This record gives sequence, C-alpha cells and structure tokens, in this order.
Amino acid sequence: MNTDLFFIAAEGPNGYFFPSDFKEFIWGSISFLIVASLLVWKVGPIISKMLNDAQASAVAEANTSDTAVREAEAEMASLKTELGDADAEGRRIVAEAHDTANQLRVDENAKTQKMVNDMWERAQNDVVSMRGQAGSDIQGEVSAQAITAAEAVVLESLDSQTHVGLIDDYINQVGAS
Amino acid sequence: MSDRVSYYADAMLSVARGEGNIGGISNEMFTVARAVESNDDLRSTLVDQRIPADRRQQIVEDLLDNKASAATVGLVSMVVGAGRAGELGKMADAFAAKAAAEQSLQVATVRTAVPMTADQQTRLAAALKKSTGKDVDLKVIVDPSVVGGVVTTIGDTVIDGSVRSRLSKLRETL
Repeated sequence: MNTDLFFIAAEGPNGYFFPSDFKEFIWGSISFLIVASLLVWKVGPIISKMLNDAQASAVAEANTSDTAVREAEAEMASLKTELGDADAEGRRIVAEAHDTANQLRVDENAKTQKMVNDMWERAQNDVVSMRGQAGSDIQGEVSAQAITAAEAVVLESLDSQTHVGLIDDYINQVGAS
Repeated sequence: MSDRVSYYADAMLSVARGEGNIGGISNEMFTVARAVESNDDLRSTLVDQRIPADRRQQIVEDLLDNKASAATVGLVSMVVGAGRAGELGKMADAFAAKAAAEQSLQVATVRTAVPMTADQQTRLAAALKKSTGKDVDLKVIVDPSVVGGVVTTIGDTVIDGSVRSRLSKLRETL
C-alpha cells in the first residue's frame, strides 16, 4: 500500500518523485520516526506485556482447563470405581441379607422344634405325674377306707369279754418278757 | 418339774404321811387330777380367777364329798384356793412319784379302755415287777382313746399293747 502512495505522490506537481515538499517529507519522516519510536519505546512494552499477560492468562486458562479436565476425568474414574464398588457392595449386602435370612429361618426352625420338643416332654411328664398322683390318691383312698373298715370291725368286736382278753394277753406278755 | 410343783408335792406327802395313808391319798389325788384334766368345763371353772376362791373350793368339796378322804379333799381344795388348779395334774404326778419312792416303789401309769379288775391290777403289778425288777405303784386311768388293751408308762419307758397303736401301725403300713 505504501508503494501505491509513492506512485500516486509521484504524479504531484512538484516534479519530484515525492508527492510534496522534500522538507515536508523529511520532517514528516522524522516526526513519524519520533512518534513511532515513542510508540515502540512507551507503548510497545505495554502491548508486549499485555500480550504476554494475555498469553500467560491463556496458558493458565488452558492449564486450568487441562487440570479441570483431568480432575473431571479422575472424578469420573472415581465415580465409575465407586459405582463399581457400590454394585459390589450392594451385591454383598444382598447376599449377606440372604444369608442372614436363611440363618434366621434355620434358627427359628430349630427354636420352634426345641419348643415343641420341650412342650411334648413336659406334657409327657405331666401325664406320668398325674397318673402317679392319681394312683397315689386312689391307693390312699383305698387305704383310708380299709383302715376305717378295719377300725369299725375292731370297735364292733370289742365287747367286754374281748377287753378282758386283751388286758390278760397284755399282762401275760409283760410277765413273759 | 418346777420348784413350785415340787414344793406342793412335798406338802402333800407330808400331809399323807401325817395321815398314815400315803398310798391311799396318793391314789385319790392321782384320780382327782385325771378327772379334772379330762373334764374341760370343770378344769376351766377351777382355774377361773374371776370366780371367788371360796366358791371354787366349795365346788371341789361338793364334788368329792363322800368320794375321797378328808385329807385328799383338803389338799385339792388348798391347790384350787391357791389358784394353782391348772397344775394339779403335775402336782399329783409328783406327789405319786415321791410317795412311791418313799415306799420303795416306782409309779406305773396304766391306761385302759375299760376299768381293770383288782385281780388284773395285781397280776399286772407282778408282771411289771418281773419285767423291770422293781415294785410298782399302779395308777390306773380309764382312757377310751386306748380303744382296747393296755398302755403302761414307767418313767421314760412305755409298754404299748393298745389296739390304738395297732391301728396306727396298720395305717402306717397301708
């Protein structure tokens, strides 16, 4: 584009290659150089710093993104692992609950069987005891009746002659001893 | 035997000795004591301190009038008047023991369901002497609970030939 400006300027009326006065060109160039130097001297570092900062920021952001990505990937892996662990834990818990339920059922069956056996044994003992008690009661009643009957017979047979005989027998036994 | 019972027995023995009838008075005291023991109404009346002593003594004298010697009546009246009728049995037993000892005899308490004849008492005394080696003073008590036969107690020895004991053995056997 500068080349085009030179050619356009060369078509100016001053007869020189340059489009205007040469001094103007010189001062203009000097001014341009001064302004350019000032720009390079003062604004350049700022721009450079801005660019560096922007670059650093971009790099940091990129790093942050990479870190976030890695963290996300790690989190995902962890979640996958945990999910796998959760599945295993769930299966283990279910299996354990199943085993516990089975054991409870076995224990409950054994307990029920023992209770039934105990009740049966107690019932048998009660029957034996009641049978023995009934036998004793009957025997006692029979004995009481027999004693009552014997006493009645004895009392009925105790007339005066018998009394005399009993006393005489007693005297004879004492004398013989 | 308490001291009081022993003192009363000694007093009774002294009176009997003075009367010259130790055996007779001893027998009468024994009989009266058993009669009082076997009659709840009579015993409760004679021990009742709310009844005046002279009234209780009068009851005794009325009951024993012409049935016991005057000495016996006087001794029983003395015991009742002193308010010791509840211990009359123990006193009579102690008196009988002391009286028997004074006569070198041992008291043999004989319980029968029916009264013993004099012949039976003589033969029993002889049998007991033969069995124990000691002369005995028989104290016969008619006790219907014996049912039949005889129960003799000499000191701590009991010779039980009663129907009651045989029935008891039968009951234990059955």
